[in-house]
Amino acid sequence: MAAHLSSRATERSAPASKRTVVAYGFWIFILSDITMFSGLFAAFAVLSHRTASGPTGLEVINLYHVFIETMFLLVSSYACGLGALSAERQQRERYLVFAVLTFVLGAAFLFVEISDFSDMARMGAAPTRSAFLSAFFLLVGMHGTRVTIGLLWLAYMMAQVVFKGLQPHVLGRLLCFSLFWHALDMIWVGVLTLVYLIGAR
Amino acid sequence: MDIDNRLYDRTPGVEDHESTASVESYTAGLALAILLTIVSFLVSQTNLLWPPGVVPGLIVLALAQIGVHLVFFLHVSIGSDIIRTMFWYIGRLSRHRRRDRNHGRPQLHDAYVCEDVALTPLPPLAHSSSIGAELKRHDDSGDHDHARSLFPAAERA
Repeated sequence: MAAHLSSRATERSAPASKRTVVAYGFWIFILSDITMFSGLFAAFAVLSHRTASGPTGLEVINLYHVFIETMFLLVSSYACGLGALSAERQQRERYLVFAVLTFVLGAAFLFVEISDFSDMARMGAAPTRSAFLSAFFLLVGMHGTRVTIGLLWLAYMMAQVVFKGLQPHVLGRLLCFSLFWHALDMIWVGVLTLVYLIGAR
Repeated sequence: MDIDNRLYDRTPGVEDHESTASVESYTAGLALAILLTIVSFLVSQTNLLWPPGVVPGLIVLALAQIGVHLVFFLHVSIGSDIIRTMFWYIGRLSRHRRRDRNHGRPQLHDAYVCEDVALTPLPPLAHSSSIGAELKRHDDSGDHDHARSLFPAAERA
């Protein structure tokens, strides 16, 4: 028994598989990203009433659009999850269908967000107008930047699946992408609640 | 050997071989997330909730929504390895501390506890019959020579 256990103990001290190490590192990246966002959330919470007699949240926010954006992002996350499942089961065509769906919904989210931003800028609610708007554009824009990066990454992953197939190392990258995309959705829950639902009351 | 390595080599959110992810779990997550989103919008736009309670209510709903995302989309659950490992280590540490208070063990023991906690593997759920039982016996008896012999690699280091 002791010999059996000791051999296991020695084995365990060997380095973990690359997939495990990469996924663990990516979790640490996600946590650091959330830490950065917590700073932006705090800045927004402090500055949300500093409107410098400019437009307030209630005046510039279109909650109907925000609801649509939230739905786009949620269903995009769902499609991403189903895509990850099909990739795990080596169903390439199915994965690509879900990846395209993820991409289209993410792009639709971004389209609504950018058109809302440009409407706000036209109404005179630009980031330079007040501390509230600076914090607003910084926080929401940072999330939008992450979505843009995610979309580029997803397009790159789709190309890899088309040309390389669902090889183990491609699967590892897909796993990281799924973590990234779901984490973005979680950050959006915070943005939705703090900036939009509480900010536009 | 392969199975053992898989049991230990896991990251939160990674289902290598006993995947909890399924179409059903993603669909349940989506349904719950949409429901919570709609409730959040309703609470913020109507007087369903007592007005001073709206902001705390929205925060609670947001936390619930983040929980739904963690469990159904990222598969970090109370059954996941990281949570189980955490509770298990906390349990071990408190057992050792209790024993220290009762018997006033010397410093050597303290040093050994640190080493012990860092090196002892988590008893796997499926294979608790072999290594889990062995570790439990070591826990209960408090026999350190016996425990040390389980990990000659640690002793050499």
